[in-house]
Amino acid sequence: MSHSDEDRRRAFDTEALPQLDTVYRVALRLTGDPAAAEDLAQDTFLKAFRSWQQYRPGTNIRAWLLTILRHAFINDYRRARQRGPSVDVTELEPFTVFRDVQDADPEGSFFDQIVDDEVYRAIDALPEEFREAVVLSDIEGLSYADIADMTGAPVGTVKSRIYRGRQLLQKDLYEYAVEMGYVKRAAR
Amino acid sequence: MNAGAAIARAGAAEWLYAFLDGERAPARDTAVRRHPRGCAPCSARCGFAESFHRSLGTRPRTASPSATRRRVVDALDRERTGARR
Repeated sequence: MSHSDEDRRRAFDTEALPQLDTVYRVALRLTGDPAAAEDLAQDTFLKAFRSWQQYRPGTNIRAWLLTILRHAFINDYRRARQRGPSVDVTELEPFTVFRDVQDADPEGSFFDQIVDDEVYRAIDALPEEFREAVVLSDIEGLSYADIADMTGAPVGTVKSRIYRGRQLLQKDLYEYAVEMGYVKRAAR
Repeated sequence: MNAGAAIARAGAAEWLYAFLDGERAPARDTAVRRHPRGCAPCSARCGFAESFHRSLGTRPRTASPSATRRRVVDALDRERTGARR
């Protein structure tokens, strides 16, 4: 193996491989299936290794890998998964859930009672464009600018998708909390 | 429109979440940022949004299974071996 091959391999192992958890988590949320997420994570790393010379050291390795993952998902995996229900987001009013709970639980403490699995179920149930934005922002902590770069959408669109995704998520988790008795539904 | 009415509207709710995400420059939107301190309804809305935002952001992150890690490393090793041939 030449020095440059060895250097290339070492740089990839040092910079890219530590991002495996992130890649797997996003793959899991996009595909909704652990086996497909594993396939997608593997494909992402193989594609990343083959294109490693295109990565500029010092730039955002996580965003670079997630961009590769996203393209692989769209090209090879998306057709296998339902894209989620179509939702008329124009009907979403701001603070709808807050209005319902403002007397019983104005601080929204019921959110903390909801188990992690249920939160992830609700995220998985979001329509794809909102799910992707919420996962990249709320689970992975990417900036709006990084998400815009990855998805090719303007920052304003990213902001709107995150907001609307959260509104849908709040609504879903509120219904669950009512069902579980964590909060009472307000009389309308 | 006063700042209180603004916070209750969809555009301002988006703004509020962008603020919680650290996406707003601190020097901007001073009036809207200050407003909830003196307005109980807006303060409550902001507190609720903050609680939801915090609850979502502090959930444990799933780690990749060790079998997945092995599989990816093995696939990369095969790729590297193949590339050397």
